[in-house]
Amino acid sequence: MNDAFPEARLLAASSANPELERAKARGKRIIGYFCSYVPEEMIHAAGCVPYRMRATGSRGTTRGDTYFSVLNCSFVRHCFDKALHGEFGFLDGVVFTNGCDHARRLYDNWRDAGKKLGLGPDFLHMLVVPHKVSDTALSRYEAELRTFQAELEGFSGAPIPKESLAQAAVLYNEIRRRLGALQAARRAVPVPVAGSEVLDLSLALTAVPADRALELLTRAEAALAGRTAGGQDDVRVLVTGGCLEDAALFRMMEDAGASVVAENVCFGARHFHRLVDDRKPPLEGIAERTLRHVSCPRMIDDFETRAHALEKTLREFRADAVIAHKLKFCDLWGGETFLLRKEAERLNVPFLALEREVYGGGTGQLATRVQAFVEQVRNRKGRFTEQEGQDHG
Amino acid sequence: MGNETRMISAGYDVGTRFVKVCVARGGEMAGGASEPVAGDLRGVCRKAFRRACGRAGVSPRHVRRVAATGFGAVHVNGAGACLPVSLCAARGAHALAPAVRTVVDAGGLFLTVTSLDETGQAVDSITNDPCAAASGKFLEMVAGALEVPFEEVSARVQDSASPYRISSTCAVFAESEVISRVNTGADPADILAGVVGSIAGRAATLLEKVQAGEPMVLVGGLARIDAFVRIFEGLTGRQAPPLSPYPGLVPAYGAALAAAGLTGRRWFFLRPHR
Amino acid sequence: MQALITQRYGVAKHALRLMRRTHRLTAHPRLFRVLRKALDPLVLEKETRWNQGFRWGTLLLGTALSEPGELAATRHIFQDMLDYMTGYLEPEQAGRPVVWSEWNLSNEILRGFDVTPYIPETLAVMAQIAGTDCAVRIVEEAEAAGLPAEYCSASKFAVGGLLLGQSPEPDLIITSSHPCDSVTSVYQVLHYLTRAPLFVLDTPYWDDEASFAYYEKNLRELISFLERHLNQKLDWDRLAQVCQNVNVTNRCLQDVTEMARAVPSPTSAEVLLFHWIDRMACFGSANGARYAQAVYEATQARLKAGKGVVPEERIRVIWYDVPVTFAPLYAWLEREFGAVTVADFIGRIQQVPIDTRSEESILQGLARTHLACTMVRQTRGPAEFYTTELHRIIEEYAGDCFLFMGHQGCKGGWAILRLLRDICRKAGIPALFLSTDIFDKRCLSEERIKQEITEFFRSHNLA
Repeated sequence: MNDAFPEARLLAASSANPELERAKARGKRIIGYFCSYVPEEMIHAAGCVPYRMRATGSRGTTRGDTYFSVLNCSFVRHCFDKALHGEFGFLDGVVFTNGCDHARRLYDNWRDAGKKLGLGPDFLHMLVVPHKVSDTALSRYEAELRTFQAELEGFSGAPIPKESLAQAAVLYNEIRRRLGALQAARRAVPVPVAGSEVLDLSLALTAVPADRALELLTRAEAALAGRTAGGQDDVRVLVTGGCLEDAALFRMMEDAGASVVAENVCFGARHFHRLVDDRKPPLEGIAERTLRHVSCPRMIDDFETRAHALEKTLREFRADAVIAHKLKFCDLWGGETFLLRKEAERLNVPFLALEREVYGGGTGQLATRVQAFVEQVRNRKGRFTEQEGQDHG
Repeated sequence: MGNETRMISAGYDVGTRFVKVCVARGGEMAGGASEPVAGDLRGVCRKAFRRACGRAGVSPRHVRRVAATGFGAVHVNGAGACLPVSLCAARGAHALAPAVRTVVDAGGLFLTVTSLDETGQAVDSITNDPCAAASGKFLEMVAGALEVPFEEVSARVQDSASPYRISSTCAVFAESEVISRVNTGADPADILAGVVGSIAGRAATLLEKVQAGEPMVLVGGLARIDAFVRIFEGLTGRQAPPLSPYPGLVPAYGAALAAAGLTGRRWFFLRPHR
Repeated sequence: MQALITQRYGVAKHALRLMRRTHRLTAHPRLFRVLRKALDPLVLEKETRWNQGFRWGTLLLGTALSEPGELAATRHIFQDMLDYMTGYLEPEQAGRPVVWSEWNLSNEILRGFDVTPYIPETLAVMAQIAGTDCAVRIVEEAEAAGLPAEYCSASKFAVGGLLLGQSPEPDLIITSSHPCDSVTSVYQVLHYLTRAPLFVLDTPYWDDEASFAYYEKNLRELISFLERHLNQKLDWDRLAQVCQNVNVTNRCLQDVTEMARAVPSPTSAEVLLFHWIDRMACFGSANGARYAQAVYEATQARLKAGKGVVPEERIRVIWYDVPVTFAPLYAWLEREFGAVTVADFIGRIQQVPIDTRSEESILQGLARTHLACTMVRQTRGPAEFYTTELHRIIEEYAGDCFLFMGHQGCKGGWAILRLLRDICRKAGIPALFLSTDIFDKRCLSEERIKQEITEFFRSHNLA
């Protein structure tokens, strides 16, 4: 039996995993990174394994809260708590970004804890990403990536030739393209794979070396043949939002009768969107792909592009409704939710906004709201179908 | 009764759940009382005061100086001063156990950790952030919802095999989380253990922020909950015995001492708080 | 209050009326001073329905600003504010395009065009003039419309003002990516709601030549954007004059900032904070420069005479992160405790001179000036930008205590409380950390803030 999806689920549910241990045993170094604006291929080209940081397995925020406060995002607090408990001890380096006010302070607090509490690793880098997607911003981002490359070379002790960068870009393009195709398969009615399964797979792909990621994808593609995961009458939803690393939220929606046919979340589609243009010099191509993939609300000049992408996805995936989620105290997704609601009104699409903590925190309440929402959408669908029948009857 | 060393003073600790009053005579704790907060707060204060005087064997008229502390200190009629809880907890703890260097006050709504020097002076203190599910009141609420008498909470927590970890920092959302768990059939013991663990965890976080010294004691209402003490000690790896004999009265006792001026600092004969 | 909210520009018109009266009074500083002191007992304790209409302005002109030299100087700021407000309240007369500019973005460049600048967050200040309930009403309007509760209150005023018809419609909007996520987010909302073309200056994270060059490039693009949409050319001569005003202002106010190191301090942060209001709306104005010059001279005279700004300085306060704008506390601190705010987060100035000899040097200077502005310089980069300044203040200002207001909107500040706490502990300075809001009294009331500060002073033997 093809165990790709169950294996993905296990990988998604664990912090470290045997794949990383095997990589370390082969002499590979693991570099953690926050945010989809960090190009994984550069870390790979430096001979290291990129690992997307998650709060998975966190037991609380008791120690994280000695630095952060209750007004800070639970994702960041949980991650830092894990760090202070030594649960990221398998990392040889960490790359941070100025993704948001909460996340960028991880860089500051981690360094401080390094000085005062001996928190490792030693290699800590802040990759600064512009807040715009203009050509000037792109040039700036390229310069930032050159600095990043120099830092990686210093860390690894070896230069990163252009060819290595180009090959790494090709490799990660392959992962993105194939995951994109798998995601696109969800346009079918009914869907061949559940949204929760795809999210688990997306998470797993960021937690293992690239060759293992490709192997997992191959098995996942094979598993899709002849498969259905939903029903004809499922309410098809598009989920959008920020950090969502726990597929349990999608499973809860699926239990409520919804089918998550598309998503635009940090660890999911947004992470894998767009390919590196291999006609360009590799660093420039990587910079352009990374800066110009579907953006998140930290990009101030890009809402119209995001809105168009959302509308296109709604159409292509025949989604009946939009569910937007945000973590508490997230200004960026708070404002984005306000705008998405307006867009949903304009498009006459049912819209639900959820607010949550990264783990736990009122799941019962969320489930109730989702159930009620799904029922409303189902009834609405029924009315439209009936109306269409009358109109054509 | 004119001898200052025999001066009778009273301290009020007006918390969010209880009003505690302690009468001190010559620097010693002479009597105390606690009344639940309900309705007319000033009436509750008066009642607690009279009971404390009764237990101390003194007439209310003979109480020469009064100071108040706690969330509702401003509502105490006739208080010579309103003082911070951290200061009063420090004073009271130091008087009862001069070696103490850290006082953890776990009360109805607030957790306060105070570090003190060898003279009993509060050096640093920190209180939990707003919207924290880190309060005795929250525990009381959950126990009530589970129909577990508050005095049985410790015993029930002892029975827990798998404490439920509460992730919300906001009591409103934490309550919702707890209700969900109850509705899905979770064991009340596990839920109570989770709530106590959550409060103990918040206290442990505060402890680390203040870089608290040894030895440490617990005061306030939650200090009477054995389960809280046990879990807190487990989380911090430190001894945190409740300061006997009446941990709930320690801040009120400290306020009484401050009122009497037995600290030796003249300015503690304070200007009335406006 | 309801009438002000429901009437178009009601809040601004009310503020304008009061400012006109105050402006007239500043022509007679000694009389103004007597009147100001007479009003003290009526306003110091708390806000009531009776004193609501004049309390805020009276409190703002606290001890440091109620000396004759400083009171006379405020005339220039009031003139600037009158010009700013009449500029958009009577646009038909001016006929000029309205350009919205984000409150932390130094917008001198707009003075090189024929436009009416409007800073949406200034409504947060104007609303306090009408009473704190009025301010809360505007915030509630934004929240009721679906704006996230966690947004900075300044952002809520920007949106609330738009929804309530208290702001002019923009023809263009300019913003930056500093200082925080709330600004990053709300200007996307404003752009969506108004459909006005938006330009964003991307603020660099570091303090190196590449960062300044990048920001300079952003400024050039801003100029192109403005020229294209306004169909005007930037008047570089006018901009050069504006930059000279900026130089004078910054030089004088930096000296005032530094003079506060003296014991007793000849000045207080409220002198600098008063200018911050002007800086938001009218930075680079000749009036701003005149104010700066006047307060510099008044402060210097006191310094030379060895006089403090209060009769008896007993507590020297280092005040972070934001002022409690809905209840200026300086007069209360000074009267009650002899407490003088010798250094603060918002008011202090760090000067970067602008070389006005060429267009290129102007832009280079402006880039550096912008990035050295209040709030921008501390919050846009790594924690060191925040902590290094605090270290310096602690070393040089002989502060007795550190008060941190804990503005709800500043998640980046909340995320480094441990670092600030450790700095104070190592320096042996008692520190009070509160959880308040710069403009919204609902978070922590004036009464509670005063209670906390009082208890803190007493428990640390400062009072």
